[in-house]
Amino acid sequence: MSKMAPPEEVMKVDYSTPAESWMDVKPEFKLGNYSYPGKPDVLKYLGLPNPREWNPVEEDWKLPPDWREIVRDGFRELLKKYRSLKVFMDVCVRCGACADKCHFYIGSGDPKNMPVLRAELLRSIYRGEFTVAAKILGKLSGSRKLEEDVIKEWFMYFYQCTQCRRCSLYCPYGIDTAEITFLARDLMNRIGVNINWILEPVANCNRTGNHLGIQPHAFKDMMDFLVDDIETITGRRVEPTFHRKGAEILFITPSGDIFAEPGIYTFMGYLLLFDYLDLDVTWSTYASEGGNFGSFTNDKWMKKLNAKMYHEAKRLGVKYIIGGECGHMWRVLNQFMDTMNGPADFLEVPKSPITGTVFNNAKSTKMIHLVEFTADLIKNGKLKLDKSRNAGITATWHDSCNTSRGMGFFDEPRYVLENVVEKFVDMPAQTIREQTFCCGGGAGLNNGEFTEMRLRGGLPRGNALRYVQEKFGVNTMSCICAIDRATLPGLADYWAPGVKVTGLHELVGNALVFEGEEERTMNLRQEDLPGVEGSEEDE
Amino acid sequence: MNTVETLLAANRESIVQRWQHLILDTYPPETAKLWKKSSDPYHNPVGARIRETAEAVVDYLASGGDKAALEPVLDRLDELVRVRAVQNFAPSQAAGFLFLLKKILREGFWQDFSEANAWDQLLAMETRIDGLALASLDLYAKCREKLHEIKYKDLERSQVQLLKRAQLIVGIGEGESAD
Amino acid sequence: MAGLVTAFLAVVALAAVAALGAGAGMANVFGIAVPYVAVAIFVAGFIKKVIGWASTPQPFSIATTGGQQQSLPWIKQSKFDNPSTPFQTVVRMALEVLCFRSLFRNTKLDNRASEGRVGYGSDKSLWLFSLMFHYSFLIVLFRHMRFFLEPVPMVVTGVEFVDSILQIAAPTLYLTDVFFVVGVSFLLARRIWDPKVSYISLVSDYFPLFLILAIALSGIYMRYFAKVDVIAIKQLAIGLVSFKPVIPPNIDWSFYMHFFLVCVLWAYFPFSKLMHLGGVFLSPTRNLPNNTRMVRYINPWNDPSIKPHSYADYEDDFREKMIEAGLPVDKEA
Repeated sequence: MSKMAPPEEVMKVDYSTPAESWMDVKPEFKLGNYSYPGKPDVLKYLGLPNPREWNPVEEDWKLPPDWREIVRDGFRELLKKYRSLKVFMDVCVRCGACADKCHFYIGSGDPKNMPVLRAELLRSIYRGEFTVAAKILGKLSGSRKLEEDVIKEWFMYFYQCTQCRRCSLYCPYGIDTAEITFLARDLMNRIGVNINWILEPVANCNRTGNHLGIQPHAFKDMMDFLVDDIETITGRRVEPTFHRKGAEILFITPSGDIFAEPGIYTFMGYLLLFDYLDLDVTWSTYASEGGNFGSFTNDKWMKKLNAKMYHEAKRLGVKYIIGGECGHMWRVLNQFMDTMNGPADFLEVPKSPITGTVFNNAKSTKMIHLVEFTADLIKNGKLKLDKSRNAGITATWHDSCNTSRGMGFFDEPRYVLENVVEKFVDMPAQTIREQTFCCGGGAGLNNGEFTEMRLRGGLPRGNALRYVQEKFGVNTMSCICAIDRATLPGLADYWAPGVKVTGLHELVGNALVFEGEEERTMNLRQEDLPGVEGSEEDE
Repeated sequence: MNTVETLLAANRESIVQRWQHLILDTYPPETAKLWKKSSDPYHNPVGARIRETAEAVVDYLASGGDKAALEPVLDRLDELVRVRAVQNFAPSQAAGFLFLLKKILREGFWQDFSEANAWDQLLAMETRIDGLALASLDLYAKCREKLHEIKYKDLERSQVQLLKRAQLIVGIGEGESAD
Repeated sequence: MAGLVTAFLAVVALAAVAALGAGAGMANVFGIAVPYVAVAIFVAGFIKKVIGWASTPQPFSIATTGGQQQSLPWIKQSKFDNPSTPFQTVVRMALEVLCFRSLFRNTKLDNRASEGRVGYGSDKSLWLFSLMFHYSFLIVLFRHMRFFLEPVPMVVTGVEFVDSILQIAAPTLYLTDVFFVVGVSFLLARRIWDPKVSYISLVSDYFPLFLILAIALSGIYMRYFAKVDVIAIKQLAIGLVSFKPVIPPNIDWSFYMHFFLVCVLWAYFPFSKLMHLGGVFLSPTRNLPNNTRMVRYINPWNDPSIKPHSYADYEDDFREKMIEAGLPVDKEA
């Protein structure tokens, strides 16, 4: 028997290794579990320190010689600026209520993906550098010294957090890992440890107004493509305007909606709705990004990018702003914008020109969510909707993390969805609404190189989706987030093949019945409507 | 049922449990520690998939010869391989967990095989396990293909309008034939 | 595991120090000096910590919203999970502090798709035992007022009456003594046997649990087994609070052990995670309303010098292309 080659040898399974204390486990960088570092040119453009070529899998990260002082001083500065950080560093009792709430932990089983340990990565340094207890008790107090391996660990795990805040909901002290991750990334930015898929979009948004760096004329071309497509589908020529001074409303949506599938169909939905209502709305190529990659970087860049919205609204002299379907965009608009760039005293409290509803819940920011606006229209009977245009769809609703736990936006989108599809069913209770699971792509992690890790983290969402797919025949997952629209198609393809992903206004656009319209034979994706298949050949 | 199959059926629970443990051992020690200690495998979705797959495979092998349907067991294998394909494993590690079942049979029932002189049956059983292992490798490859397909589809989707503009393409027209 | 053992040995050592020291004629130290120092450390440390938090600005209003926001009038707001007014926020905080609202939400993974459970089931055990532990602690603490006040207020005797309502044993058994030990034992057991929690636990997690358990057990020993001289202890207690400390004779060593461990807890408190008692009130994800689109929240260090890349600069960058594409511009080329 001893002569037979044990399979575990080939598979390199080691039964003897005892689990070490987490402080002794070093991060292992492998393609698929980290994102590529920021490019030197991008860092230079943004004025961020230590631009250089470096590679996380290599030993030498080329940190600046005084990196320890920089991190220490930075930490001290942030502790003075953020009560949240100070309280969260002090009060955790490690009860473990958060431990199994993180989608990355559920999918990977890596203990450092437990929110409590993710925070301990920072907390251990806090204790080691700033508390008395550590000086007396040393390592026993759970503290440690700032070493290069700690920075590597930070890079690994603070860029394996999508800032979805699910853990914060269950924490008895409300400790918010998104806040901790945000500030840890701020610290890392000070020594040039960051990822390109956050910084390049920041740079592009700053210069061109959208995260891919599309120039204004090209942006308009893409709008024209969509206008042409709408004409093909509906026979209507919609006429969106850009930079029109004196318009009533400025509309801003994540730029992904204009160049990425399936966001473009949602974009067509917006255009159709505005046309249907004959809304006095204008677009801007300058402020054409609703998303805010600055909010994954530091408070300065979050503010600077967000400031474009009010700047443009003021220049154009609009009365108020409507924002499109996006997740973290709305967390920034709800919780940060007014504080950073308000007061918007040059705007008016939003009032729907169609229904007369005054949106008092946005009376200070003067910016409302398009879904609120649409829900109000439907409630007041201002839209003629034909659900059969979405026939064949059994929809479920994915609550996006940021609008869920950073806003509380649940019933408005469900109301709209129920009015445009024939069949709607929610996923299991503990995977939706405030307990919703992340798509795995938030906070700058929806990049190509991170796909494997993202799918791992997508397991809980995938499980819930597959359950309703098998049980209720769900074939469509609708959502109001551009990052969801970018990452959920892949997630669904892997964990629940056959479910497609749509934005909400795509479905609205499909269902909208114009007066005296031509009969529609296809939906916004130019797929034949059920029941009219082959109609073209018949003609 | 022959001797080996009978042994498998009679010891189903202990084999499944042991196999489940060995599969969990393929994870990094700190992960294995967290997942193994929990008495109920359903307390994590990965554990649940391991458990259900292990049961399905043992039942399939115990049910004898060609009588059992292969499709359902392949579906179950797919459930587990799909997870392992995105969990940082080398291909041999991701799909090789079936060989661990051989280890269990040899270590646990050597004496029984010897007494019953059931070596030919054991060989047959191991061949069937090898077959499932190869099938797992196929499934693994499919998952990885899917992963890469997702990557390029993501990329394509994220720039679909840009491609349209950059290429300044012209369609072939609908239903028109080339003359 | 090292943490567990270290914490246990530390508590045993502390208990031994007091038991032996008091027996060796150091009653003055353990009965008078240590308590004054410990309480001084507690008060000063607690205040310093809380002032440290409170004096740090909270730049953004970052409520974690746990339900439907205030929206259109026909949409029902989840007022106490997603408050939009100060009153609703106070209710949310009260639910959090008094009822452990967030722990009540706790789930555990439970994945049986075939049975309709996909991923997660409710798990209220941590909530229940934490609540039991904290409230028992509070009541036990309150009952101890009888040692410091003469005459004993009605409300204290009232609580004692209810607490001993079962009339078991002599002296009568207090229910909270039982709940207290059960609660703290559950928290300790969970920390040892739940693999997730044991992996994240530090010495500073085990130490307070052992310390509190030791305090409870020594107190129970005094009351039910040693049946110590309560009159003498009250004399000492009143002496302490009236700043005329005396050491009455006939006080059992077990009292000094109990009392010293309590003093250690006081002194340790401000430097430990036990400060969650103060911190929970200052957590910005819970104590701020989600009304930031209605009322502007002010950040004292908001930097007005941070301006957007201006439209004018943008137009300068792209003017010709914009004109060519027919996009309106502010300045012609």
